[in-house]
Amino acid sequence: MKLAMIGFGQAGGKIVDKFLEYDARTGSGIVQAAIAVNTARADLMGLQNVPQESRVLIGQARVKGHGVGADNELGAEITEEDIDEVQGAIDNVPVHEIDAFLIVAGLGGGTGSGGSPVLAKHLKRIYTEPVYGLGVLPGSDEGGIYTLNAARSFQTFVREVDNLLVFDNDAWRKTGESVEGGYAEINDEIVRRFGVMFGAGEVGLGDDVAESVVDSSEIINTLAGGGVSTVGYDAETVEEYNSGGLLSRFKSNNKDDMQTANTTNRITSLVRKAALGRLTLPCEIEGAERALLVVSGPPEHLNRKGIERGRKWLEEQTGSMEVRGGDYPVHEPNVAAAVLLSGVHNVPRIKELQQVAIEAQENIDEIQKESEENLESLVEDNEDELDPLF
Amino acid sequence: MNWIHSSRAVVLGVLLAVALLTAGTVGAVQIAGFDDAPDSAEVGEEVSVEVELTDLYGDNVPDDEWTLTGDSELGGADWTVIVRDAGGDEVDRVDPVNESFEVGIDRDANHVTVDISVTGDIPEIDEFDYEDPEVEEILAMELAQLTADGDRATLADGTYYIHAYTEESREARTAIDDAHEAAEDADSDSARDDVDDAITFYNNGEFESAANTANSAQESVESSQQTRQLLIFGGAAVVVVGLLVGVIYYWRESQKPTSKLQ
Ligand SMILES: Nc1nc2c(ncn2[C@@H]2O[C@H](COP(=O)(O)OP(=O)(O)O)[C@@H](O)[C@H]2O)c(=O)[nH]1
Ligand SMILES: [Mg+2]
Repeated sequence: MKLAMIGFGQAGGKIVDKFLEYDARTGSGIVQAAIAVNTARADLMGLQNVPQESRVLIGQARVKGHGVGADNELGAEITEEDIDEVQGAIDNVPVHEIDAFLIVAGLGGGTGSGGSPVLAKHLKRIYTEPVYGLGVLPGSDEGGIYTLNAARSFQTFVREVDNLLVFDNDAWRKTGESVEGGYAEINDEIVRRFGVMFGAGEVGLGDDVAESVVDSSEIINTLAGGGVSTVGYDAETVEEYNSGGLLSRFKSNNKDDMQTANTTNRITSLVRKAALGRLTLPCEIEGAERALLVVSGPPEHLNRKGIERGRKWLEEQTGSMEVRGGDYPVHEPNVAAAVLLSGVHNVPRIKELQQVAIEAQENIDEIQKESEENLESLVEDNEDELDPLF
Repeated sequence: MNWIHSSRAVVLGVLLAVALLTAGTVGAVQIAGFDDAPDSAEVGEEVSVEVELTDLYGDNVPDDEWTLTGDSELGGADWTVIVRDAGGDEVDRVDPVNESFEVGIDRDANHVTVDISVTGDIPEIDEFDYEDPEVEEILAMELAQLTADGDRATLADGTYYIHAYTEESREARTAIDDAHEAAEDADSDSARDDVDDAITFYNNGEFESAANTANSAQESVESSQQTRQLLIFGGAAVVVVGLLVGVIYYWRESQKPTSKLQ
């Protein structure tokens, strides 16, 4: 499926930049247009693949290109004021060629956290194409203000988009790694998972007679109905044997049967590992409202039986009646299962985030009150004998 | 004894057994809601179990006035117990702080149904057993009648367990499940041995080793199946395979940076 991606803020910009690189490298053709929006000039300059003319610096009058810090209320305000500048960049997007918008942002910061819900609301007002969000939650070690920002932005973003895909940095943090190096790996993971998911609707291999290829409408239907989504993923290397190649000369029925059984088992096992392993947003998969299973790999390593079995298993595990499944043929020696779980409800991490955010809010209020009192007691003379100038 | 006689005897026996069973337990109280509670949960996760009790004065709770008690192994178990009348209105409520509660049930006070919920965290489990997952279960709710002499008579179907896991234990268990299946499919004794080793690791709480062992068992089955097939092609095929592997290797190397999936 073809997307117009808008990276909002630093994390959002970097991830969209990575999507462009993935697209060029693999030819998956999902990024129809890419835009990066920021209040910080330096963050826009750090991008490598987003075209210069698609980098939009907003809020120059207010923050002079220096960013909003972690003030997401300011991020939201500036976005509202300068929404025309963002729209100016979107005007260059051939919207009739895209299937959806995807707004990408780190929810713990300022610009993306505050601005992306505002942009989502704006886009939904103007276009009929679905508007999806890809929100990154902060690590739990990043401190209260990031958590508070994320909790508030999450709430608003979910409300404004057609579906919010979530990636939780906390679940993917690796101890003992530099933050930057850590993000590089995390961003690769984000791009691979969502790339395979969205890429599935974009098969351009005319010669492959796929059994049941996933198309864009199935992705859209899975995301329809809104709420929060998460993606599970697992891949395995296989030896690619070409059906017209050397081995086919020795083919026997027996071998065919065995390969079929192997293929089926591999797929069902990958589906299980994908759904039960680490999700982009860890949660209880039971109760997910809709799901989409994409099994990707060389056509000779895909079969309907495996996908159907995997799909059935997902139905049992989620209790959902709406589990779609299909394949995504690619020419490389890997087989992968990607599971999109949409409308998940049982997400302990979000509850924890909200709890910490509430505590942070209370702390901040208290500190502010204290400092106001302190200032007052410093400035005012004890007996109140002095009069102010005016 | 002819066939009719013996089958009649069986039927009688079954009836008798059923009668004995129902009389032997404190059972007529109906408990609904365990179906909606989670079957399994991760250690540290907060879970809730909610049930509704009806038919409070059945045959085997003999009195019109009795004491209902509940226990839980959930960490920081937080109970809410609401007693309602026939119209569903609240007549009594207990908000106990501890792992357990006690509440008086009284027909004359119009006590008709009881809503019970407990919320708490899945505690650490110190024993793991791959083959006996019951060892990994946490008692989430146990309902009982407190008899006059202070004994607890557990209510029939009034006990609910939740299977506890950690991320690592679950991954290891899945890996062993898969390897076990692969070993049986391939009927491979060496893979079975590896699976046994993986289970030993698992039972010792060494989940990473368990998962690694299970995964390598599965891989070895898969590759040995392929090898066995290839051997059938005879010596000449070995050369072809060598070539093929070379070609695949070269191809894979040349394809590497364009991978969508890895
Ligand atoms: N996954 C990922 N998260 C990031 C990256 N950079 C920053 N973050 C997260 O995003 C949050 C900061 O948001 P950022 O985008 O820097 O703020 P903004 O520029 O003001 O929108 C932090 O909570 C980080 O956890 C990145 O490259 N990848
Ligand atoms: Mg930043």
